[in-house]
Amino acid sequence: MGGYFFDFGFIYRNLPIFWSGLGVTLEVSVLAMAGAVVGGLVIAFGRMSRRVWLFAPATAYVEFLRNTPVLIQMFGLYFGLAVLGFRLSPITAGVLALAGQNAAYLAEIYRAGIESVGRRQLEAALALGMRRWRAMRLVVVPIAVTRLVAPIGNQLVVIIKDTSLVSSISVYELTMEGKRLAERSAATYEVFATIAVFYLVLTSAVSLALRFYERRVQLIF
Amino acid sequence: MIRVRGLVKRFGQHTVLHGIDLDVARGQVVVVIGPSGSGKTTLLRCLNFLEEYDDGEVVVDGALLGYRRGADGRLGRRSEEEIAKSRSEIGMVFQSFNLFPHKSVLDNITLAPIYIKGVRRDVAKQVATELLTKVGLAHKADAYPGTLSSGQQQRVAIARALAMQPKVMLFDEVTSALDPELVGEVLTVMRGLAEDGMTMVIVSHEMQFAREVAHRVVFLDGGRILEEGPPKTLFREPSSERLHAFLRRFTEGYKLSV
Repeated sequence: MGGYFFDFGFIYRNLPIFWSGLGVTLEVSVLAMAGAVVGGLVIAFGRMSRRVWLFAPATAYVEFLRNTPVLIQMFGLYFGLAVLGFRLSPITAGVLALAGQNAAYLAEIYRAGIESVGRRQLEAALALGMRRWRAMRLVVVPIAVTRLVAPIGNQLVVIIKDTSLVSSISVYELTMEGKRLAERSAATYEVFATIAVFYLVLTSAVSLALRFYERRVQLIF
Repeated sequence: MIRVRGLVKRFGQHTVLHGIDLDVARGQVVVVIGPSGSGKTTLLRCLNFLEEYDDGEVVVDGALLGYRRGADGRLGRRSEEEIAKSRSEIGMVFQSFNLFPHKSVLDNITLAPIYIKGVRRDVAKQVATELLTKVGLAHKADAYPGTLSSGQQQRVAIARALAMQPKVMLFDEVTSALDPELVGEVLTVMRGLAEDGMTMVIVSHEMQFAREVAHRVVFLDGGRILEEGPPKTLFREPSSERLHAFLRRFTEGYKLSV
């Protein structure tokens, strides 16, 4: 039937394809987010270290990964390493690239937060006789994290949206499945509108969860 | 208890402390006064090695603070563990309280005893409750710092420092960030400590308090001790023109505000 506005029936009939793509998108998102959140913390501590052999590589890492496109990094990990004989699966390469670059961004968010938020409390902890590392773990990081919920949340949303890029190294996630479906059926409008809604639902869920968490931790402040 | 000799502290090119000598006997209360920028806070922070000093020595309870003299006679920085150990025996209260906002009042106080001294949780809690009673805040044990008034927060900060059973307490302008009507409650707690025989070094602008509580007042100006002595003598007959001018500004300010 032509001359329509939006063919819901078409979407409904092809839902399994969307579900399968959504599953892969979720997988890539969760792995990349976990990698970025943890990796970023490690790099942030490197950036704040007074030891040159920790500070210098952490800084180089952040500068390099923040200032080159994540798509190129992905190509490098997938095609580039393959040339050198290390063959990564498309999903592994995609997750590594997304986690890698976003770890660099998150490291800078953490660092700014830790350096600005916890300085006074850090001094108090040191004055009580805590060693630096324990003061960080017991006092500074917990405070910084609760105050960094919003900027961290923004970065997680970026990760979810950027998972669409892994379609270009042939991961069959939401965008890739959508592209294939659109090419087969010419229902381009329906397909991409639906995909957009799926992404919106994912990112909103993350934002809402974090806002809820933020409200809870701020109540006790 | 504290012996300071020839203490020098520089920030880059700028020398903040030009060779300070200071003795604080056990149970003594010393109040350090002086104009802003005179190095009072820096001096105090050198006494628990929050500032690393560049020359001279700070000896607390017989041990050189922060450095150790090696076999060759040269000074080397002590290990982080040793420095932390020294600090655990020196209590410090800050101008801006610096409480841990993510911990309840009780947990603020028990955190260090539990994690640093290995005190059992229930014992630490009991001690904390006693200290809270002492500073008049037993009913706020489960509150979070953010819900307290500035005066209450500062009293919690004092209790937190006391929980480590320090040999000395350092107070860095602890009433400067308080609402005027809340200054009294904090000074009352400090007065009680002094009466209990706590060794205290207090940086303060509260001249009346210094007059009543201090055994000795030290006037710092431009990174040097210009005068020191019992408060009565020092306030009544300042021998230096600088102290005279400093005190006059205070009394004038006081008259204006009345």
